[in-house]
Amino acid sequence: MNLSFTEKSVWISLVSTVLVYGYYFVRVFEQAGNPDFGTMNTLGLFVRVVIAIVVIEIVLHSLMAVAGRRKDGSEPDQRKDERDNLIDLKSARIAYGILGFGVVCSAGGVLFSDNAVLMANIILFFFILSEVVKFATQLFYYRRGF
Amino acid sequence: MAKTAIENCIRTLRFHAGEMTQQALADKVGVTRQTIIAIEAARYSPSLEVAFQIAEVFQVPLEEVFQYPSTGTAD
Repeated sequence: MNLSFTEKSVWISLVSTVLVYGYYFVRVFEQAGNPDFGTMNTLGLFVRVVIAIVVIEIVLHSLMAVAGRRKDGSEPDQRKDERDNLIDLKSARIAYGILGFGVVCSAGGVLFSDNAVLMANIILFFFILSEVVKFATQLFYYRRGF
Repeated sequence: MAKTAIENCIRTLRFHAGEMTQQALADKVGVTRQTIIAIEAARYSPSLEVAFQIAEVFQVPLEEVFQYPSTGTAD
């Protein structure tokens, strides 16, 4: 499979987002039923998760840049061209729809629960879901073409 | 894989240009090699600007690089 630097980067973002935030949401929704579920339960976890994903992305992108050097030793082609930008735009449009749906659902959820932390996590869940769909859609367009 | 309606002769033109590599063409046009691969395989229709740049690299008119076959529906 012949992948551009951008496509590999999307793969890294997809896998790291699914794994790291998957872990976060499993932990958060396990605790959601507890009566003492609150800000301090999730804030520390959230900070650790954000730091983890930043570190993982930096390390993997650095490794990819080193491993992707050309035969003459020059840097891999990291620029984005018009095809990358078009795929990015198409994917973002789909992700925006999911994010909008999630925000409306979360706003409606206020009628059933006054737990602000739970609401914030539901909004975050839809935000991460939209990101995952965006990455997956990008990879779909890279492979299938359009 | 989804094919575009636009056909092209880039592979042939590269051959006649001293077996120019896809990377060399990509560098001249300012896109990635994967975009040249996608254009050659008719999986991506480039912008007019990139299409003209490709034609300019091979020093041929645009219609020698890209063709839009008639579907037979027009009167």
